[in-house]
Amino acid sequence: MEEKLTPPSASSGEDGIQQISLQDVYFEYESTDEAPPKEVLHGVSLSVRKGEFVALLGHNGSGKSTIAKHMNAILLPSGGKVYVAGMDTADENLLTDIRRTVGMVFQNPDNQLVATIVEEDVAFGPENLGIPSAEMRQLVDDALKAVGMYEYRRHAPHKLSGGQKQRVAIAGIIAMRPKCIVFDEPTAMLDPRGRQEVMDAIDNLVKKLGITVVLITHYMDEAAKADRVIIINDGRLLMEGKPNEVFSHIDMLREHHLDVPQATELAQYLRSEGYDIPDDVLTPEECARAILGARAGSKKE
Amino acid sequence: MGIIETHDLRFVYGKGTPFEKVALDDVSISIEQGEFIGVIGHTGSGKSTLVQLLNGLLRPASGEVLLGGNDIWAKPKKIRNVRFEVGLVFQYPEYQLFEETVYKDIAFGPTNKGIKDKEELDRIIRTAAEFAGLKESLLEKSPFDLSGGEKRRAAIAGVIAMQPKVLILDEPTAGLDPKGRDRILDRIRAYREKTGSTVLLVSHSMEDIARVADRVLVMNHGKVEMFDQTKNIFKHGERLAEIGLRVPQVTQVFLELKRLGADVRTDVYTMEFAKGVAMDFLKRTEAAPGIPAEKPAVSPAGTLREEARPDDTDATEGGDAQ
Repeated sequence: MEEKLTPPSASSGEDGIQQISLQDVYFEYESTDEAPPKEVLHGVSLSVRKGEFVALLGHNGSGKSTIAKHMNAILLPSGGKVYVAGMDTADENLLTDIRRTVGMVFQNPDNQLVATIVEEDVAFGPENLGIPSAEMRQLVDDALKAVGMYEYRRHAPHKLSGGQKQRVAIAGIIAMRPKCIVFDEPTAMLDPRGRQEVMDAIDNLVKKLGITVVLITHYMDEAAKADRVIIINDGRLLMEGKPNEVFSHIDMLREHHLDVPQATELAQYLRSEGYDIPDDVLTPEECARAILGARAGSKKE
Repeated sequence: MGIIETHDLRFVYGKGTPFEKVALDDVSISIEQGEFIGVIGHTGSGKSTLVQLLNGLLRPASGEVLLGGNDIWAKPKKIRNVRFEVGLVFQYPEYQLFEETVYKDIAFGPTNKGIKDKEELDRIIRTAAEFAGLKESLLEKSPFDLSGGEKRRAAIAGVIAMQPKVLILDEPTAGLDPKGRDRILDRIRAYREKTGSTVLLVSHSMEDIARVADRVLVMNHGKVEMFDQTKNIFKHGERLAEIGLRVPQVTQVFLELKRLGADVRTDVYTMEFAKGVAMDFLKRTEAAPGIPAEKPAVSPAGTLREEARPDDTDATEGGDAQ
């Protein structure tokens, strides 16, 4: 299916300042002794506006993590351009500035923690940026407060729960004062409480600190919280739009082996059975209200 | 008698050191042959400790594990045999693939179990690969050339090839996309149906557990919090939230309806069942007088039909239903 809700062009950045812009990006992994070169991105154009919360979905191997790694110059495009706050990621002289603008948080918190005390871990990044120690105290405290881990500042990271470790890793990124943070499946290894803690922290970054967030996830309920959802399939943009718009295409999502939130699926089913249910249900609360609303109204013809 | 039972099981990490911690206490459970058990609990609740005790990787501080009625530690030197009978697939098992080919990797377990006949071994390997959903063509590849989902399934095939009576999988779908997840759950379900094996699935995904489990074991702080049929477990939404868990999203819909004053059952945890229950609810009340969609719970009682009586004491506005 080739349907697209909005054209996947960079033009969607018109109503805000573009923080990250990918313009017709191609990427191929170089050939090795055993394998020929493999192209994994086939002309991706997308942009992320300042302060926006964007979720990137796609099955494993779709290219979404490859796209994320282009957003702070871990990978450079084989064709096309990537701009971070106007800086060309291919310009080596700008590398430090680009990495300070866009931070990354990965799946496994254990691989991201380096120190034996929480606050030292958070200070590691800013220290490397050469920030004077007078400012450092404030930076670290603010970062830990932003993720709700201030009380744990003197704890040992390895004794924390998965959700707490991941929040410390996030604090370490925040302390470097990036404008944007890219999260690559930050909750994949966490239990339900840990997932909730990390999602609350991300929510806080967007709403209170005004940090632009790009979230890669397999969890549709997490993607439902974003301002915009982008679906990647086979190295191309398949769909983009508001969560309720994208999730209304249940069949197409299924075809590409993606889920929709269960609340959305139930609401869509009742709607297809002729009940007067809104088409933008995303959460259990909205679904319950919609069912009560439909029960009050009469059955549509 | 269950295929696997525990009596007053207790386990302590770091015994005799300042870091001593009781990881498991007072665990007595019984699992019948052929059951599909879901195991849930927050990180650190003791579920991984429990599964390692069940296959003899850890030895209990006190209490016992019975396999087919026999204490697995009766002859400590034979404990290795228990690991063939209770197969454990660890978290992220793909990191434990090490042979040159997938075929050799799957062969490792049954070879160690003592299967020497080449033809029998070959048959076992191919059957295990099929159960795990691995194509024949992948068997001669290096495990490192497989995709994430394929690696995971190769590791599962390696455990299935030991033909265990009890198969335990610790978070087998963690980090996989919906397609990879569905494929693994489907294969496990098919395996269990065909072989009649007992399966324990540890997962953080309530939706996965809801789809496959006959009964659910809920662990909390090293103890058994609940052990009951799946539908009875997910009725306890509030308690599950208190101990760091949750109910499937579709169950949340019905708990919310109830909270808003609707007379609706809440033991709903799969999508198919939910569709039926929601349809029944809508049909049953179709002729009801109008109720504002925004605040149904505060509608005057007189406008509600009998079956929607808002007499639940906890169905007050502003209640906390996550």
